[in-house]
Amino acid sequence: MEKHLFLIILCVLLGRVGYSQQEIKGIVTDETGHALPGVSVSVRASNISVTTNTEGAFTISSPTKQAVLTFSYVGYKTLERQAGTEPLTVRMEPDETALDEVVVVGYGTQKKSSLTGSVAQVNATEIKRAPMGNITHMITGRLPGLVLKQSGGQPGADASSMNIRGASSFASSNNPVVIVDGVRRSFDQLNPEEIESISILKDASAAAVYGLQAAAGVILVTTKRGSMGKPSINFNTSMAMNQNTMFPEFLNGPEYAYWYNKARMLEGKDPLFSNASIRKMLEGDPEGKWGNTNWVDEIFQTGHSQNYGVTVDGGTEKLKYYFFGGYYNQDGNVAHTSFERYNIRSNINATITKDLDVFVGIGARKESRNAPTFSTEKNEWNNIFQQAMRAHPYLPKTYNGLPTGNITNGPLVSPIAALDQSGFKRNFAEAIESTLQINLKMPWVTEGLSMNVMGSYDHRTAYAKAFQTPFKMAQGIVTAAGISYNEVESSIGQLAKLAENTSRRGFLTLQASTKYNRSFGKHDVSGLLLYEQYRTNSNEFSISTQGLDFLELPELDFANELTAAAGAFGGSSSVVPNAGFVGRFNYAYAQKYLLEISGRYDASYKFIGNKRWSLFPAVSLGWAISEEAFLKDKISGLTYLKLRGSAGKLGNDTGVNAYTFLSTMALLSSEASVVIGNEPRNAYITNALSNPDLTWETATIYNGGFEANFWDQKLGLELDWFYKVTDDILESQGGTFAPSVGGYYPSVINTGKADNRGFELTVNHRHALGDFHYGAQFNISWYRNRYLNIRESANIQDHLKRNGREMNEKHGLVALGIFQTDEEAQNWPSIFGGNRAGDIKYLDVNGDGKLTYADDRMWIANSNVPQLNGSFSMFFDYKNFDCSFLFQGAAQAEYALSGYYPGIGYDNTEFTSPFFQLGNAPKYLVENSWTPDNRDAKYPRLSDIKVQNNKWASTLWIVDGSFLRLKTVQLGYTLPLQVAKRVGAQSIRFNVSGGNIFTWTEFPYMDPEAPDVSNGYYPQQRTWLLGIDVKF
Amino acid sequence: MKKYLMAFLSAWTLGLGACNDFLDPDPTDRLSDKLFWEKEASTDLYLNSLYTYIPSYGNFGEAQFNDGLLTEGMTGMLKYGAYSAGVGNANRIVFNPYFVTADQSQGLVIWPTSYNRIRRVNEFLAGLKKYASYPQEVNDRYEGQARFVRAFLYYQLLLRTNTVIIYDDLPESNNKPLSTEEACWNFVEQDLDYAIQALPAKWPENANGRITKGAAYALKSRAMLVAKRWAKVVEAANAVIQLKDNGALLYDLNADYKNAFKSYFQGNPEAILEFRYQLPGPYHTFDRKFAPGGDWANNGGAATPTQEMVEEYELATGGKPNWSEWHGTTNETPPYTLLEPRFQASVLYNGANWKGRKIETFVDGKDGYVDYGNQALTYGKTVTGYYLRKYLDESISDISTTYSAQPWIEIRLAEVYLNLAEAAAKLNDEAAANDAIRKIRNRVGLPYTDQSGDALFTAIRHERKVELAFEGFHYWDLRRWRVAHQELNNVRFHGLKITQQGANLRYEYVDCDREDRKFPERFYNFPIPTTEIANNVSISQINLW
Repeated sequence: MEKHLFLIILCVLLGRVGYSQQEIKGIVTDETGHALPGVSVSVRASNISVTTNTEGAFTISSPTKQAVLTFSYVGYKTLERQAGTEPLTVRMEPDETALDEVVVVGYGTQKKSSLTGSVAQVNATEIKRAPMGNITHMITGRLPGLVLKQSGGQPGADASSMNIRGASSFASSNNPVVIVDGVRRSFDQLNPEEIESISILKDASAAAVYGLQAAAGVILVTTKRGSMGKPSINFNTSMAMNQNTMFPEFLNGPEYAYWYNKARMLEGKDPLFSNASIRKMLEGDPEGKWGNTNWVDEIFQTGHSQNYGVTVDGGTEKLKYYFFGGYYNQDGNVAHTSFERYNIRSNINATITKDLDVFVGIGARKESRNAPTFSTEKNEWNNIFQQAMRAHPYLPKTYNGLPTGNITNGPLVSPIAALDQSGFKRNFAEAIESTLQINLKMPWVTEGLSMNVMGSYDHRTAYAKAFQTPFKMAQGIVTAAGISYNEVESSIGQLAKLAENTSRRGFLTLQASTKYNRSFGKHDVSGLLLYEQYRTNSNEFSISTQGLDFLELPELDFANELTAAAGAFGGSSSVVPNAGFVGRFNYAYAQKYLLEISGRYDASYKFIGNKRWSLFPAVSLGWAISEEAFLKDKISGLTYLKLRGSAGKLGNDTGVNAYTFLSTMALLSSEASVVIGNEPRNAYITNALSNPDLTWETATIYNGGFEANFWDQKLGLELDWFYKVTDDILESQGGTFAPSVGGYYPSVINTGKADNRGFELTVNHRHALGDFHYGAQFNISWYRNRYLNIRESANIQDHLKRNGREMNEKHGLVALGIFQTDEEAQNWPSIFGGNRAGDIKYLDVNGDGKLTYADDRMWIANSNVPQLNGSFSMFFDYKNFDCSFLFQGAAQAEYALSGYYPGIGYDNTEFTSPFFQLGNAPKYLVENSWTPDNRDAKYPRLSDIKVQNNKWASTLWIVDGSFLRLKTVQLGYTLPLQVAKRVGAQSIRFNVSGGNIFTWTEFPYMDPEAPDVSNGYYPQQRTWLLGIDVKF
Repeated sequence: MKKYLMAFLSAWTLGLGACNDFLDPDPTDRLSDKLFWEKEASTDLYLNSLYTYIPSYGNFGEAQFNDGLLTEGMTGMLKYGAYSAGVGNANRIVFNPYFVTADQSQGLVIWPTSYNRIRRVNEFLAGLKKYASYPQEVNDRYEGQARFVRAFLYYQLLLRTNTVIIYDDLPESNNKPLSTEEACWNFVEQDLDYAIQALPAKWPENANGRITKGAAYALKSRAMLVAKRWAKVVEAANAVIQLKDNGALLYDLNADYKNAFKSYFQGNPEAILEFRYQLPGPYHTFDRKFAPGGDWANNGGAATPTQEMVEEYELATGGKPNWSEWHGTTNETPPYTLLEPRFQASVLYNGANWKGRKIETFVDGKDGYVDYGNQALTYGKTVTGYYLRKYLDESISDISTTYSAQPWIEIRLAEVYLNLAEAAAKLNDEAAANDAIRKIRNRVGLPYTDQSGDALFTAIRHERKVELAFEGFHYWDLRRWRVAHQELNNVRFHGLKITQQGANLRYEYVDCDREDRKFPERFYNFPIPTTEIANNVSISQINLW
């Protein structure tokens, strides 16, 4: 009894001592600085333990002064901290042991450790390290294997083109199929906030379940889901400004006069601009006739964009919800180009009974794009950029109150008026995407069995309205006597034109599946059987009118007549159905030996008979070799090592037009073609010859790789190597038939064959030094493809053959240099005759003493798509600061400054021919053109007209497309919790981000990702952004 | 739970069963070809597409040049003002013959488009044989029209390349050799002979505009002239001239030359084969290309008549005026108003009445003048001091908002008379030749005295040049007569530059070429495209190319 009393007293005393001395307080946050409730906090070597409250705060009593506290929470690394006199602020680190990471795969998820296929995934945290904008820009460099190329910067139309592991087919699309929440949908107009993860399926094993459409790889996008816990409300907003990355500088007024005069004199013509005129350009003209206008600068301004998003998420065990509403708008850095988007999402998971789950996901968005009548699309006729490059800089912006402009070899140009006065093109799109999924576990049949039905209906409408308003302009005409002006109509003409078109698409998907998932001791078995069908119904119609009584009312009701041009009205509809069966079987023994067999028995309505259905199987094996006794704990530092390999077959039917198995006829023209019996009548023409034997392209992919982890995840390594053969490639036969056959052959047949090989290597490092956390990732990938069998003309010359060469190489003449004398030029073979000093000297490749474009061109440059891609990214977290950056690099790509125009062939562009089409010229070009006093010039002779000899695609116009770019930078600061709480928030984070900050490349006048035929294009944008995230 | 299970199982079976029907929708944006042979109205819709080939080799079409150029632009008749790609192609060809190559045919080689069309005709004929079950007479009419179009296409090919590949049915191989010149023309003749016997002289009102027997005869007279089968020319030409329907002659020269380009169905008895336009479609853009610059600022005037062509016209009373005064510099007004009706109908000159105004071709006039070679495009200004008038529609008040719809007269009776004259002269039937020329000159009130021998041939050439000026004949005629290498080689042509001097106008004879034109020997036989040579192993490039 005494003993007991003593102990009690001792305890009380000790307790009192401990209590009075050591009441430890603190706050626990997650990795982003948000309060983390429910974290278990305990004193080491004791049973004293508390959990954090909803604000992440805790108070714990410790018996000793030097208590070490242990913090643990599911999904986070367990931390230990020494208590001090100050309140503790503890930031938890997510437990991203790569092995437990869950990866989204086709029709399901898998633990990364059990993966045997090649899959890469990026999650929300990483996506958000880039400035908010188009999602395709935000994931650039973060998914090894995904090659992205941004070829323009137009608001709302600046998504990068994507392919997985480079091109493998030379006839069909190499665009991966995109699946959002299990359904074929696009993701580039989702608000990045809605996206939880993006995975890419690279090899046959991962993609076989998508059968006929998977040959180019698959992108799986998953939207966010509700999580258990108290509702959290998150508000984020950002504001950004955008400017061109690069655009060549064009001549100003006096420079233009100087170089144009010089060009004329070299052609034996008199100069056009007098010194007096040039003086007026420089010093100002009292009559206002001469000016000095930088039209390129005039059309560009600083663009702005804004983003707002509200997320509500939370739930209980029975019901989890995620709601999101977002708004994004961008005013382009070209006036009157803008984009606006609203996104809404509601994802709800409900557990109805213990075996029955229901998921309802609804996403909706509304987009509108605004542009002036004169297009801002690349390569479109007379687009704004082309006008700016062709407008003459000696003109003032206005004359007599009218916008000025000049005529070119083609239309009148007046860039500012074209932006401000030409009317508008407005595009509207709305989409509602809905999914209902019912999941039923069936333990009463057998443990681990479940059934699932999913139905989805997406409805998309698009509507466009284009209104062209005529305007008057002052056309400047320069003669030797000076400059005069004519008041003329713009190239729109005298009548206003109004055109509208609308289209709607309904897309219905049904899936029914059975899943089985069970462990028997060391044996893990799972299986999937699934039937899927989907169908698109679409229709559209359009009308175009002219002559409106009131320009204030651009409505069809007020239009006077149909335009007397082709396509005054039109309409059509189509049905696109598909169906397939999916199967997958996984087996793992002791998490060491892994096997997966998967496949899809798939059908396409584009084929008939025995060509309709086909099986696309794949098999893959994995061996977690580090788990073997002979390795486990034997090699110091090696935490995990898995070898894996796969082989399988995938299909691609995207290159096939529907109904090529039928002989069909089409309307020759959308309006009457002939007049018979005094009436206009239609005419019909046969479509291309039917080909009932047509089938899909088949890709066979072999993939091998390993994943390794060293020093307890500090260093991660992942390597994938693959070889892919694509067979039965749809080849257009056109080039290999004599034209006398008149096109009487099926336009495509399955004869092509190509291969593609490459690797992806990822190196990862993560480390923490006290409060300083950092990580780095380096990705490199390389791909090279080849034509193994491509149809070539019967009499083709060896140096033009493509078999064995890489895809999309550029062909052209080989420039040997520039003729220095007329005599040298005349004694050298020429295509058109009449060469002189300053013209390009070409190699007579076949050595026949004659130069022809058909015979003497050869393969001179790589494709525009880089073969070597890499990125290096880092992030740092220190207390309330975080910082990240990403460098993107690409090599083994080349682009041509001369353009290729489908159906016309190669030709000059603004970038290769001074005063092209009678426009202005870029400064670098004239300054580096050959003239008698600049004989070492890089470019051929200066001329005021297009020189035939120098127009060909040749090595002279090839530019190295390699580049290194500081793609994204982000600096974030999270306010101390105490400060955030004062305004009622749980956390507040500010960030400054940048996109496309610096680019290092050979040709510094143009963005290295610029499109091929550059008749003016919307330049890529450099972005600076300021963002705020508030969580309540 | 059973309920759920049933739902799942039925979803599965539904999927399985529905599959095949589900994957076989009917196409909604195209029609099966068989459907077109079930009734005549549908077959007519198919046939209509073959009709669109007829105007495409003419002035309103774009088949013979990629920018719809007039071939006269390569002769001394007409001068294009531009020298840049596209609309300047005629100049690029005449100054630099290397511009025409087998791989860059620049439109002079019509091989691929024409063979595609020949295949379309053969496809129609094959479909007719395979699917149609019409009465013989209906079948014959379809076949007659299609074969006429085929003959027309082969005629166009043979005009350019002397020997071609014959496809009388759908191609079965890639490697068909060239046929002899003899066989090629035989093939054209057979198709036309078939058309002559199969086609009616006149179609019912609701089918007017379809190819007639007269058109087939007329085309035969034209084709046989190129083939140098003189007797067949005479025979065919006479057949057209004498062709009757219900006892009345079907064709006659229009009393007024300027109305000879109107539609047969609007009372022009001279039109034998025509293609009509009707707004909003089908339409063409001839006025936009060739109207004088004053009609629409910066537009039109692509090609303009030369001084040489103007001087080819006679006075209304016969005989040519003395132009020597205008071969220098003078303030005298040229005798435009005294020239014959064909000049008045074909050429616009300074001071001519046009759309309620006077044409101003002087420097800085409303229509304007610019020296050739000074700028790559003329923007509606003339480089010769004239504008084209033939084929322009004076009734269009605003060409910037209205397209053109005047009919394309592919064959008119005056040509048939001239074909007859030339062939008859070759057959030494000078009376018939003189008779035909007189007919042509009578219509425009010009006197004529019978000619003989070389003088007769000179008279025929002059008459062809003037009567059929700017109608697409002259370049081919010069080649056919083998005089192009003399008349179009090492020559320059001229214009009249008019400048205002106070109240007066000064006329200055100017070189509108500024360099010598070239016509190499190989232009008598245009090349076979490189793509044909590359893919057809039974063929090799013709000599000189």
